[in-house]
Amino acid sequence: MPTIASDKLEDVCRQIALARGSDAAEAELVATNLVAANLTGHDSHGVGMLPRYIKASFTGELAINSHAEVVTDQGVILQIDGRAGYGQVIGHEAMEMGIERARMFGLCVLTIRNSFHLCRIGAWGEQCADAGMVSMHHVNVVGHPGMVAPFRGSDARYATNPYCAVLPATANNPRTVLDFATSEVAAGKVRVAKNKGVQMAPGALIDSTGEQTTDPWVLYNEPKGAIGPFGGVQAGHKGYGMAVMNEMLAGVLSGGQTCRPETDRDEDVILNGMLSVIIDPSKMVDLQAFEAEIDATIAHVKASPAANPDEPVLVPGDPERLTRAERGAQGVPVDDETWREMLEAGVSVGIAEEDLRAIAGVN
Amino acid sequence: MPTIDHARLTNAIAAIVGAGGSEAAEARTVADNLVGANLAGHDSHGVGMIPAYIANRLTGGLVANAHVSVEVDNGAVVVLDGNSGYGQVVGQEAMDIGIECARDFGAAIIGLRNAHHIGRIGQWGEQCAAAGLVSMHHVNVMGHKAIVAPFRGTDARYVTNPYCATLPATDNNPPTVLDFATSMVAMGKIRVARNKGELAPEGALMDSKGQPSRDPNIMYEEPIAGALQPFGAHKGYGLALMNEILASAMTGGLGCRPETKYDPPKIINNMLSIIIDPMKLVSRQFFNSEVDATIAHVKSSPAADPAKPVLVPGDPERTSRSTRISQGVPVDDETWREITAAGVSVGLTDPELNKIAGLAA
Repeated sequence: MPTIASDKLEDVCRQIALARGSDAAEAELVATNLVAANLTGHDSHGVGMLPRYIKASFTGELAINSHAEVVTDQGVILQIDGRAGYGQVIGHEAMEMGIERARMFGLCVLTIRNSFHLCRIGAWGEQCADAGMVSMHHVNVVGHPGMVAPFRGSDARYATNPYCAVLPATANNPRTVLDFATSEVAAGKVRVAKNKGVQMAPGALIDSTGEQTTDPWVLYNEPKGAIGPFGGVQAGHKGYGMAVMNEMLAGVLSGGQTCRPETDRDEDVILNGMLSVIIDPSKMVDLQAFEAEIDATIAHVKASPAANPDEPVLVPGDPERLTRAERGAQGVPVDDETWREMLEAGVSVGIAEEDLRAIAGVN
Repeated sequence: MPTIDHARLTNAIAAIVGAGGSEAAEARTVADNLVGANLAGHDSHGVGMIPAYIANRLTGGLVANAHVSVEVDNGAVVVLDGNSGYGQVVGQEAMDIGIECARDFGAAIIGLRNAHHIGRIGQWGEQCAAAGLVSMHHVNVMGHKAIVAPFRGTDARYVTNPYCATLPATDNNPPTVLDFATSMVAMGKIRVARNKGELAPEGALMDSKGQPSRDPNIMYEEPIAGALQPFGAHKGYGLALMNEILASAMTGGLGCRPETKYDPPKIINNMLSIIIDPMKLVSRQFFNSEVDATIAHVKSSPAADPAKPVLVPGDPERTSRSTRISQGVPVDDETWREITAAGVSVGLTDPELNKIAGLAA
């Protein structure tokens, strides 16, 4: 498995995107966003997505050099159509607009429809946080068939519909970044277990009859099983409730679509809808008191003695920061299969394997 | 266990709140809200709260006939102080203001701080939904001892910090009302398990040393009690922490910490509400047809257990409501005893209250 320095890995992605026809700004946004996901430890949303994007661009499902189009502008409310563009571009442009509105009005409620894969949603919360904003993001997925079953159900009806909420940094704490799939596990983890030939933890999967299983192949063999909602046996209705609300908040309020048989396209198509709430805290409270309250609360929860001294209480965003520091210094591990697919994607846009290897510094 | 007609129960509760010094309209609002929680099946937020309310009234922590004051008005962004008034009243006033703002601007954000206990949060989502609006609500609690532990932690650091998200009704579906505690189970369920001598659900509790436990008595140990676990491990914990901070830091309220106790005692909620007018984004026809199609799609997933079909948020409460409206609200003996004792503390008598409730004197 190659380990690639993050700047070199970015360059690999940049060159592939450029060769496919993206302009320099788009290639930059795509490359930095994907590598940033790897740096935070979320490989399921990292550079391994690029081959899928390139494929989708050839079938016309992903539109190169598209931009966010404002469909409805009501001041506090913005409705944006992503026109099937790279989610890395659409998400970035939409957040810029939303941040500007939140500065103006204190609040922006922004919807995105028809964006290609918005990728790691935490990235959008982080962009808002870096502008001093608090934000919440509700996401749904259309295009590929559902993977997640409703609580009590026995088959997949929608995707991993993430929820994200982010607070800006204070004098003493970096950004607080909550970003999770509303399924018990991310689909990427099931793929990894299947490839490694290991079982999943109990509670994550059901087979096609709705029975609990630990076999990752149920997501790949017909009749297919599904991932269960987060919260498990005792509280799966809560995770399911969030998933179904995200489906409708993101899919309906955006004027987009929800995941249903009639909106299925293809395994490689991932279109996201998103409802973002962006708030300027300075329009609500004194910023000094705001920061003091965040710091005091974080200190208070972190002071809970750990059950296992090696695993202290963290706040959302801490695990990603630890991974970022580690991988920033030591490089990003890219598994063989992913690297093979990236080389293949390069070849499909006219870049020779040895050229990409040279850029990556991989033999 | 008495089963009390909901209208009579409302009258009994209104009589007690009124005798506690509230105007008739306030007494009625409080009673309607609490009985509404019982009707929805959430007894932990129902009339059983009255003894705590009246105790806090008598010591002055809960202020009768208080109203919200507008602390910040920036158009779509409003911060209100509940002035330690009945949460049922100041919550409703806050939602009224938020609904008006959302109609004006398309969306509004309402920070409500220093409200005395605002009851079942779903009711605020339902108020917005009845006005045709979508809403999300993030809540924290102060003045109550901490009962929920952070993921990986070993002691309680905050309370059950609920999250609520609600969609208005369509042609074919009633409002979709998601409303849950970010702990694995609500404290009310632990109280019930303890009273019945049953074990708590697997994974719901930890003892005072942070070890997993199923003994509900550990939540009542002194001086250090056990703690409720978050639901969904790090994810439910993340939601709880975000609610703690969103509801406090964004409203000018405070978090649940040792230094934020009250004397005299009171249970304070802070809430950050986002209210959105969906008709500013999509047509009513589109909204109705897409919500209906999505609900039909998820409900058509074959049930793993045919006796337990797939539901959408709000369904269990609707079922309970129709049963209890027709059959009455069960109030356990201990709760009714505590309620009548609260009535006595403000000058009413047991026979009087039993008569209003339609129970034998």
